[in-house]
Amino acid sequence: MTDTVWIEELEAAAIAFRLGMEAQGCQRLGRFVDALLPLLSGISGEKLVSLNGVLSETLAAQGRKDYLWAADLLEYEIAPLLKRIL
Amino acid sequence: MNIIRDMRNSNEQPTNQILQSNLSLVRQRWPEVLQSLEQAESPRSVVLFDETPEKSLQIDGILLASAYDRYREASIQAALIPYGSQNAWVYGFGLGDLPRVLLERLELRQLMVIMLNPSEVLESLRVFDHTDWLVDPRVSLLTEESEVWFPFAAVPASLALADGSSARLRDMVHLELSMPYVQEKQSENKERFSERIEGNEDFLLRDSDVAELFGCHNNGSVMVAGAGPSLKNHYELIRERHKKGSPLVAVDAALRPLVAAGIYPDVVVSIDGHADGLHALFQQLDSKSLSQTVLVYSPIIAREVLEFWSGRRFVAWTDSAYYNEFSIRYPRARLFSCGSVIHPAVDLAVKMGGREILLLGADFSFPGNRSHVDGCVLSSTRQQSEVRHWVLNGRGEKVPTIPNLRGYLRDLERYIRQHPEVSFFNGSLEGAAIEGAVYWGDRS
Repeated sequence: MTDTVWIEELEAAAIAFRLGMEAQGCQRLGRFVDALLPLLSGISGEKLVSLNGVLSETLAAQGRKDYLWAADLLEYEIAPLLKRIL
Repeated sequence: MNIIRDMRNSNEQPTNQILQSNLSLVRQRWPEVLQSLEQAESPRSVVLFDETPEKSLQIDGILLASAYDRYREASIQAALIPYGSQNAWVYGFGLGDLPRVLLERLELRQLMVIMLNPSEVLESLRVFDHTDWLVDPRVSLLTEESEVWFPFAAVPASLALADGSSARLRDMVHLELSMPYVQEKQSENKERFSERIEGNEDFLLRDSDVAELFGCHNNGSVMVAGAGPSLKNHYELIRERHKKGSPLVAVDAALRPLVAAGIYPDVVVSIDGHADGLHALFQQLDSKSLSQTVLVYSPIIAREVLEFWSGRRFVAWTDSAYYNEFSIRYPRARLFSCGSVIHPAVDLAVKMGGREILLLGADFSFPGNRSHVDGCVLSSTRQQSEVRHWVLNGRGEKVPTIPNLRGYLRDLERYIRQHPEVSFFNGSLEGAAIEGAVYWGDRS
């Protein structure tokens, strides 16, 4: 996977969630996390903590089927944060 | 993120004015909708997001629309409706953004908006002004729809909040929305299944066509055993009816528990090419003891199962377009299936000539938090916390399930609707209520 895969998967997950395509959204969210993990090794503790917080909130939203909030967090919180720190 | 305000604990309730002007329009245009709003139950929690870039509302933990860019979100959803469409259907209400975006299309003549939960709608009408789009003569607001109409788009939050009376419609909308995903998965499996079919070719050429079983029990009563947890409650009934000549068609996962109860089905159906461990369903069974039981199989199943089987074997294709090519090379009859083995089992029972089909252990859910009937190798306990989806059981209670099972249930219901000449019965009240299948205890 290249280091831009995460953004493609993140965007695809958010779009699927906004369309009500649950299975597709959950699959793409999983792929996003898989693509992201190898990129986090060089990230400092503080940045990692803030990313962890918003990622946990996203997964909790997905867990209760609050897909539009999950999509918001992905696109408007996580994506800008990752663009800054990666 | 400190952006939310629980409206239940706030003294600063939104003015009644918004609600009244919304309701006045609803009263004028759709009095029957007003009635259902008046009977709406209060949600457990209503939270206003008013410090986000866009105002939004969260009901019972579900955000009704983006709190960042509602117009963009609604435009993404509206893209499911092809440009140039004169009619469109919207499943769900949300904050009204999706109808608003669609009404910008001048060519649109009719927009049907289907409510899936009156309490969601009422809370939305309480906080947000909807008069701008509700006044549009092209809009119809509907409460009771049982079909998915095309072209359509959906508000995901409304699907998540759908109440019991909309559960069936919600599941059908989900089924349609999941089609691209299902097709993608099918094409991923194509190569693997082709290899399986070629690997099983000797059996495929040697074994009989399932069509030979068609009409073998004309105008009779046939039992179909699924592998749901409630199957164990029916062993006595199965023995009794079996003795009276009612054949038993069982899905593969139900075989071991049935045999353990001393019941040998007349037919076992097996179609799953995904499950590498499928042959585990047959482990610890004495092949010789099954010599009088017929196996009806799809050529994509594991070869070990075919080698194990000592009784007669019959080949069937399921009716996915994927098998079209193969069914020309190896012409065999087809059985209905939308992914679950219960579908071809039921279709076979009907094609055998059954005019009364009794479904046993067809639960499509986890009654008692069990996944399968005791004794099935797949059986496991599902923790309440890991199951987020539900269907209504025969008592009208919510029972946990997963999206796949919910989809299989709605596909079976569609099949039942297409066969009015057959009487379907459901043996259990514990599993999912199956539309079109009368509870066996209530038969006249």
